[in-house]
Amino acid sequence: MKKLHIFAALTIGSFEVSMSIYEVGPSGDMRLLNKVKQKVELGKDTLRLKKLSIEKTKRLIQELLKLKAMTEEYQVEEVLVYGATALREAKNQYFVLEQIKKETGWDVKVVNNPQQSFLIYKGVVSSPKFEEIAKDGAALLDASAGKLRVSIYHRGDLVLTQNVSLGSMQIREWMKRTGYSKKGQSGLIREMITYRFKELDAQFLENKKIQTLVLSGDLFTSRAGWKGKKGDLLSAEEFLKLCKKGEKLLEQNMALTEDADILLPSIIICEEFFKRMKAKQVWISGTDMNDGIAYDYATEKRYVDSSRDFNEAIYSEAVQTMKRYVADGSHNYYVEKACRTIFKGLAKEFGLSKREELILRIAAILHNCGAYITLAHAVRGSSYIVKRTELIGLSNKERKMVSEIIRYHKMNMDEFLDAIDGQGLSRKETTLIGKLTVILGIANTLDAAHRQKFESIKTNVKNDEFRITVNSLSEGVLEKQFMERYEEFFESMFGYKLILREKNQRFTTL
Amino acid sequence: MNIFKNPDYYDNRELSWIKFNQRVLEEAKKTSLPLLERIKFLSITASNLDEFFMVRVASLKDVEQAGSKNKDIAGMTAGEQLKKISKQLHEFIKSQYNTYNMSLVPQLAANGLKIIKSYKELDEEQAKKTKEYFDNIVYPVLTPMAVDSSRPFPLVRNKSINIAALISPKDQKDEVEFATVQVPDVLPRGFFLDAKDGGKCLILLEEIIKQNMDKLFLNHNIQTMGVYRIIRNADLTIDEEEAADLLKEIEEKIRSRQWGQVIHLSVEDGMEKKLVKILTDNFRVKKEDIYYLNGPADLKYFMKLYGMEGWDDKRNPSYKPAPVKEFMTDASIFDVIKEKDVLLHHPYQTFDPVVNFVKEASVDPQVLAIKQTLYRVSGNSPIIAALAKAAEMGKQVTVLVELKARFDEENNIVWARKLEKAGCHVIYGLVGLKTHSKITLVVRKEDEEIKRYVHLGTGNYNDSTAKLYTDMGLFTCDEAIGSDATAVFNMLSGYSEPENWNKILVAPYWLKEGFYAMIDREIQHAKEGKEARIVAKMNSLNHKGMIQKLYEASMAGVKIDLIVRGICCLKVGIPGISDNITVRSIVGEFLEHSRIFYFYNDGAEDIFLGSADWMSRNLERRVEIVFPIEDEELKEQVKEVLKIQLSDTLQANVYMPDGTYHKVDRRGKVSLNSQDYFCKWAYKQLKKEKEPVGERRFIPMYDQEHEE
Repeated sequence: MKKLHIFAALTIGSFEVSMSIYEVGPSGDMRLLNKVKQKVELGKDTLRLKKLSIEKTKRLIQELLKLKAMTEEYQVEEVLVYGATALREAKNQYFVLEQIKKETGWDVKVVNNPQQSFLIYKGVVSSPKFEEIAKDGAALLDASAGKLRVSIYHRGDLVLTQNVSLGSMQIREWMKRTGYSKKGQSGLIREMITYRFKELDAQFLENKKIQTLVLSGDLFTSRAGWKGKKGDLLSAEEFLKLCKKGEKLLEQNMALTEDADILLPSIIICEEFFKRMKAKQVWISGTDMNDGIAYDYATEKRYVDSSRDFNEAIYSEAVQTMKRYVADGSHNYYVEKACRTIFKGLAKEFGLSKREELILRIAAILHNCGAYITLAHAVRGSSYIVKRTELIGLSNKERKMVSEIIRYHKMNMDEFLDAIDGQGLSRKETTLIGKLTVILGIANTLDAAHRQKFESIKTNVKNDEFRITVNSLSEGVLEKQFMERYEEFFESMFGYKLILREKNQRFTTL
Repeated sequence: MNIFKNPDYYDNRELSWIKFNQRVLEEAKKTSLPLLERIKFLSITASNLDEFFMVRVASLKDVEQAGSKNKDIAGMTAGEQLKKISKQLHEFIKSQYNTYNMSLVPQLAANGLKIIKSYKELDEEQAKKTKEYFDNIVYPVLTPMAVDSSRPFPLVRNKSINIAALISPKDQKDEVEFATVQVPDVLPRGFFLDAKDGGKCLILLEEIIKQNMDKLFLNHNIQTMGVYRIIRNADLTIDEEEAADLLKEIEEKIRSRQWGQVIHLSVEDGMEKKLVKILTDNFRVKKEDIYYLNGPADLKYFMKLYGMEGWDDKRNPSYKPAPVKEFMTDASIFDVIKEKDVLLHHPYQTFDPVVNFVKEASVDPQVLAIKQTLYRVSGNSPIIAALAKAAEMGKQVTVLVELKARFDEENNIVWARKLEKAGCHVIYGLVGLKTHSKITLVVRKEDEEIKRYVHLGTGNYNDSTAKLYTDMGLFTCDEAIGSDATAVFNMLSGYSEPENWNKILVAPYWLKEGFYAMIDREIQHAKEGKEARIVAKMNSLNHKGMIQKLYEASMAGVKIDLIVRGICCLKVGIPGISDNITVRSIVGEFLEHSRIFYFYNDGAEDIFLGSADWMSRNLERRVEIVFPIEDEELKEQVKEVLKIQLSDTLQANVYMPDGTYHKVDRRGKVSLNSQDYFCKWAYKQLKKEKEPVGERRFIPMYDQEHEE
């Protein structure tokens, strides 16, 4: 019989610390037991000082200790603590994390923007209503204090994720510096954010058809005066009316909240974004990053069943990146498929995980996007693009790994070893990158001429050979020739001789 | 233009309160009541009056002294209000003493207890005993104080009884000095003596001291003397934002309460003008703040007589609260609640389940946490003991002890410290808000889920007053209410407000809007020609917005019946404004304290109970909770309570368009004392299986009256 699981998700944000406690009983349904928020404006320090002051760190720890007491109240079995923008952008984050660890015993996982977006996304999709809402195109907007995050969905796929340095706290600080007067501040905020939206619009949002704007967080659910309800689906008219009401109350300082100067920019951002996207309706999901963290944990632990493959969502966004750089789609899909086949042939024996397969697939789909910049240094360009692109759901380390795999995938073993030397990677990391790199290299070579000459790629192990069997549509001279460079590399990594077999032709040993 | 701005549409809250105290005094005058019950009501009026002076009159004086010309909803400035209050209270106090002298003292004497007004009335034996008592017991604790150029006028304690005298040295008869002596509060105020006729005599301590004044001022002649009593401003003004330690700050302020500005001086009738002038000058009171008493100061004392042995036939038989059927089982209290919501009606039904709820939680191994708000608790509270035990048993116990509960501050500080010592997490209330809500949350880890058990009440967690105040409480483990309860305690612990409240309404931010919305809904229904109805029971009604909303509803055709025990600033019978509103006040043996709100809602009746009155302080400056009753059977039970109260013909007073309260015209009606009815009802529940739920309708009293 399944038992009762109680766990907590805690986010250290720019403006507040929030914690949600969940339970999953034998039925497998996840239930929110408690949710608390406490204002700790870490973002103020990060924006002004680029670090967290000692006072703010102490205050944060004090609040975390109180939350720890609350987790004990519910006999929570796991506390998942995540740090967001403010902690991430603080120069002294490691020192702060050490102090938190010492005082609370908690290891804080600091996530990057795409990971944060992905967790927020997970929070939203944990709602059973999401599928229906997003089917005709939806934009998820997270107008938090630290950053503005936009994700676009189309036919269930995540097609774009972008974050913009336009957090409401940042706007507030800017307004303060400019000595704004309270009167008419909405106009000023609107002007300030409009040009940022123009950039976003021009580069990323153009031609994206959006039926529904999905709002995460509690901006429209918990505030007196203009509150909607979690789960509300509002028409354009209703939503704009709600925004106007909120703005008016905040401008007149009548709202019963001390955070008016943070809330006002958030409302305007949502309103402006909504207008720009020409969406037809707004769904106030009311979910937040904690919901995503909890859902992520509960699915990973198999406390709850999830039919959704989140790796596919991450991959799907990588495909959109590939399209943005006008890469050769036929070739890339082919390489990605070949990678998967080869990976599957080796995964079990070499203990390669699903996550590592995802990294390889992303590397495959983006391995030549650098050609968009320069054909002369396409590989280096691709590696650089990946390094600098926020890929949803990937940690910085994983993104770096994708970038490295792309960078080395055309190298033979000696070149690889020379290149990787001095990178400070552990043995485990070096061999993992090596394995994935050589698989990508081989897969890419199977379509060296970008003509997809081989079809029905299959693999099998026989004796000391790892055989790749293909149906040849035309003779793969170029492919066979390029494959040579991976012979030693592959055998060193996996202990098998690499064999390419073309069906209906004689065996070829490379 | 807002048509409701007219000040004639409202009664002043202080004058309305005086009317309430008059209604209590009416009970003291009722010859149909047993003698000691009447005396109890008289002493209640005196106790009420003390608090009224210390808080209400005091704050009006502060406003007046600040030079404010602001007007209340009835269009009066603080100065104008004070003038009217003084006039009415002079009349009221006169009426109190008339009742005392003309009715109660003779009745006591007729029943064998003579109140000695003067020493001269004592016989030789009694005088001897009294003298011995003075010499041996009283004299040693007296501190006579004379005033002259080297000795300033002494600080006289708030609410203390004192004897003022003019004395002159025996050798210098022209030299007159003022002297005062406090009647010690460490000794009993009354001294009982046997009478020759087999009865008893009661002489008050101040009379004994007066008779022996010459012993206090040796070598002096007592030229004149008289008893006096002062009341000081006792309203605590605490700068909570600045207070580093609220607990310490309140302790300091309580000490200073003894020395606030004097706002009331009562002197015994016949006190010499010279003596009155000295008191008036030194206490800096105005002429209108001096009250001449035709009898003993501080009639509160006579409450002591209520418990006299051998006088059982002079009291109502004491009522023993009935057990609650649902809990008359060996099953765990949690299993009972899990089965079904349970509604309690105190004092008709016992408060024990509430105490047992906390007690059982404190030792239940499955209970993880107990959270409770405490506003006023009893002297030896079993709830406090259970909470302390729970903390000792390793449960997470969070208690909000409201340190600002007026006149209970000191008591609450003691409890707060005790609970902290036991390991409870104690919150001393919220800055700028009083936490008046009555809520207990028990979090229990059961096999398949975390279950939350909640008790919500209209009255304090005070097992003593639960025997005297009418209140209602609900036990539930409804998930939505449990989640709301968790959010309430999060908020009280300093976390942000929740995103949504599922079912409960919470002041100060959401409750008022919630009530407005429900009244608006009735208005809408009335406009659509549907039946629209509001019945609300509360202690007081003075919130301008609520009154205006009720007027608006009345104008739209909503039938409104209010049961308001105390202050009511709404006026009935204003043509075109409040024709559809009736107000009644029930004053009985038990203090009416429950708050019940009924909205017809086009047949989908909404019924709420709660801790909040429709007063500005409750809706704007306090944390209050109003909660729904959803179980159909329990809804019927609450409706029955309202129906019976609206049909009360014995204890109810009906508010008239001229601003007075009249007893219900009983002609053609069955005599009904609602409180007696509920006493019997509670015991009937024990025998009853299940009452069939039938069609019930409220019959507004004004309808009946019009019919006659």
